[in-house]
Amino acid sequence: MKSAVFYNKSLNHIGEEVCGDNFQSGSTEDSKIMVLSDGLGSGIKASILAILSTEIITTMIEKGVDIEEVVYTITKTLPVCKVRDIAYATFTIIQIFNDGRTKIVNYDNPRAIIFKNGEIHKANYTEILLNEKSIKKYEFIMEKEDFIFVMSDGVVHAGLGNLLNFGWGVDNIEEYLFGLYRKTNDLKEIVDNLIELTDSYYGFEPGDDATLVGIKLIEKPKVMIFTGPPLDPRTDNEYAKKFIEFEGKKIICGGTTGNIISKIVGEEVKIDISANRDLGLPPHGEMKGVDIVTEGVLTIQAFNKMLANCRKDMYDLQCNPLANANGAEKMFLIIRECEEVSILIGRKVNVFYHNPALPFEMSIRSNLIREMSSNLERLGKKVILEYC
Amino acid sequence: MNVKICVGTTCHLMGASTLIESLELLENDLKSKIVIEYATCFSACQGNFTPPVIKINDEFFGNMTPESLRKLIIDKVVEGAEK
Repeated sequence: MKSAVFYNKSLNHIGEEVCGDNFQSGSTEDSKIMVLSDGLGSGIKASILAILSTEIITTMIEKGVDIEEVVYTITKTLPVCKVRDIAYATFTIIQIFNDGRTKIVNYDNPRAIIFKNGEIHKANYTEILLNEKSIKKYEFIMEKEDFIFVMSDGVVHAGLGNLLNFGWGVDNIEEYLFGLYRKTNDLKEIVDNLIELTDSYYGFEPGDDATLVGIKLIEKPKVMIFTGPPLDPRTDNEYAKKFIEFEGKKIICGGTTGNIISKIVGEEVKIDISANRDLGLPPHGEMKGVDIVTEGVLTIQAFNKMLANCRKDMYDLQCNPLANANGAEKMFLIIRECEEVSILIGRKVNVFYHNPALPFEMSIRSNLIREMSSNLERLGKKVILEYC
Repeated sequence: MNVKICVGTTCHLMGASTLIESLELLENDLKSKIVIEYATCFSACQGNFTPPVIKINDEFFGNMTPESLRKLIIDKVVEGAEK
């Protein structure tokens, strides 16, 4: 199954408290919907126009109305400024189905930028004229690690009459984004970088609201974390099999847990001593067929601290890129791109954890998992717990 | 000679990272005689050994410090040379 992850960042018009662009997401049973709207002008009025547009569009699609019909309805009802002959709100609608089929409909926003199979992709489109307005509709199939970027014209006009005579321009933005994409597949890193540059092209006084939305398609949007040995050693085989056969990303949290699985599946755990050991965390490692093998409770504690610092979703937090990440950060980056987190919790306790010789009190694994689960749900993930 | 350091939770809390650092500071002629590896957990702390625990070839040693580790490695290297 494929799933889209997205991340957006905005700049407000200088002097405005509220952004006149709005981004909203929704979902149907078999698709994700993302809508970006740019309200005419800036400030509260523009924001209201943009929010109304995204809300109406998202709700209609969620209720089962075809995207084409939504576009027809909204363009008929969206008012047009009689003086400037431009819509009171623009919109770009992206609908990505679970099988990768993608539809993009663009009304008066800059064109979407698409990277497919490591290349810039110029998708074919059909043009429809509605109320004398040109609507472009793109349809194509997205594959794993393909990217889409949509933006409001505030990004395109950055630098206009200032550092860049004619503004940045979509073609230049496409080239710049492609350069970033070739260095990293981290969505947040790419979007943050571009918005930062947009701000600097405006001399840090944006003359317009500017929003960039980055969307990436991932396969296996599920992850299973196995932490702690099963209480009954006779069930080790059963749970190891369940873990290894899980269709999604796999994380082992715990040395003993790693040893059990390693013995059963016949794969070695290789500890990478050169890896980042920030925060005093033990080194992590890898095993064939598993995305990461970390130490147990200390890493989970560090991971929980990261989750607690996220306000709205897991893109709120800045952390090291994957290459330089410590065990908790790697867990964070893997789970950030997953929608569903299954946690297999072994109930066997290491009695040494209660030894007074240890420098501080060890939190019991089950408490840590409860805290993790609560935070993950707060941040929009579906969590499934199983004790063994 | 194979030297394995346990980097599991209790060994880490009881000082395994200082053992790792001390191995990095070993003289080159000593380092060239040993192969250093790291293990997720020996489960030795639940037995007779006080963490941090290391393993040299097939033998476990507990309650290690950087000083005792260095001395142990030197002793084992000399022992190996005499054989």
